[in-house]
Amino acid sequence: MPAPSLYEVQRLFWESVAVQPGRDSIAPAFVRLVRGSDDSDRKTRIRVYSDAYYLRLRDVLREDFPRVAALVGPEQFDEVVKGYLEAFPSRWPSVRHLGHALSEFLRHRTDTPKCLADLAELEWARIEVFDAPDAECVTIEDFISVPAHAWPALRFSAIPAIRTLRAQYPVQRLWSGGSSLDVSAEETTLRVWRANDCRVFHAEMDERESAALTKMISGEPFATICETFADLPEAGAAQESAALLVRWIEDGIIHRIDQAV
Amino acid sequence: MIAGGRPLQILEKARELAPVVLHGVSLNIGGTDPLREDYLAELELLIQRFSPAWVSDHLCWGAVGGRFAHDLLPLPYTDEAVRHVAARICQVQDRLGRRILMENVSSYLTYSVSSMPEWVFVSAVAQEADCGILLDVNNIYVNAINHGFSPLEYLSGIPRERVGQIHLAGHSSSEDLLIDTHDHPVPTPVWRLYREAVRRFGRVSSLVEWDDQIPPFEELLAEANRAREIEGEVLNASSISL
Repeated sequence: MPAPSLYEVQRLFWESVAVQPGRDSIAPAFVRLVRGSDDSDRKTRIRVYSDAYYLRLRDVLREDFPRVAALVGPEQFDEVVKGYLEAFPSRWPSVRHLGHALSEFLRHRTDTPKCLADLAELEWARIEVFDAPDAECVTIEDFISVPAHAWPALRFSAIPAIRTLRAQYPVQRLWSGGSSLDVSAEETTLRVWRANDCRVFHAEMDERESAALTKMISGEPFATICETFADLPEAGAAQESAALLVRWIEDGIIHRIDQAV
Repeated sequence: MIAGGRPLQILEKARELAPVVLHGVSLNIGGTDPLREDYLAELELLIQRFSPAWVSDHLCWGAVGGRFAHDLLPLPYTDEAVRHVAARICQVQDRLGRRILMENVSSYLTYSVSSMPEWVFVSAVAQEADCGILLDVNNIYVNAINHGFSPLEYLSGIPRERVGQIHLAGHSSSEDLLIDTHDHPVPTPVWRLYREAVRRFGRVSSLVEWDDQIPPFEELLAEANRAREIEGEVLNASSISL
């Protein structure tokens, strides 16, 4: 029998250690390819790799989704990981991307509480902003030189390290503590961002802020952003929009201001 | 290989204090999938930003069919693998415009199709690709125990002029195998082998790896100082004997 090609060796290796993570699925053809005193010795050697594959990636996911892991407990988390790795094996050279679809995976499971998918989405958003590209952010002083007539046309760019997410459950409460997954559905919108000092934050947004932030991120002028408050009395609308702008500036989420020429 | 944030800021600060080297684990140089252009592009950006003294990765494979194991998996030591890996190293070196170092990895299995010892494979790849070797002395020891060969024979089979760095580390044992865990002090047999490596390769940049259960800084520093002491003892002795 001709020697298997390099590709065939690697295909059999993968099939034996990674196709069914955390379960014994050693291909007989691969056992024959491995040197050892007997089949038991060969399988012991192969299991070093299959155990390492599953345990290493489980640890990565546990580190990236600490609240999901804590709330479901170690046994159920292990089952989630096994299913997830089978459905979504890593497709990137960096293990940093491994958990990209955990939220989607949980959303389609029937044996885990529905709120877990939202919690995983929040934890993943925090990972994404943690190492998103760097960008300077504007300060209150940058606004002082803006003449009054230029304000309506003012446009902003958001920092790259910001995400917004819409959840069906109040995930910020699940994230903050407690050991119960027993929360009632309640539509929630959050923004997640990395501050100047590299700390990652998330905050719940009301409908107005959510709409205004969407407009800001998509580059709408300040006048359009202020329309979010159009149903309020004029003084109140001005006050609310100014307060929101100050909050964004203080949180460090505005990268740049552009004045229309 | 990330876009921004705290890890890169820390690396910037480190770079201000000392030269850095880039040591990768994801090149998949021995894989049969095409090399990942996105990975090489990111690596190139990192090289431009940090001007590392050298760039290294591992002589192994880690992905097949577009799926990554995030592990350093062993290659069969065959002529086919030598040609395959060497060609890919050349491709990377051409892409990055610099010579890279390839590190020997720990392994827990070998293949019945292998037709040469590991050190012959490592040397043949380095020769054919004209790349450097990052010699991990702990990995040699671990493999010597796991596969039953002489670590000294391994050392004597490695071409002196290609060794650009030496790695040291601790390991654990599981059943009858040693596992390269990087979570223990460098054990005595590995220090002994390091002494032999310094005798053979002379003054080579040496690094103690410790990735898990990291001890107090003083303990880590003591390990690095031990490596300096051994290097000093060996090199002084050889200069006296000359």
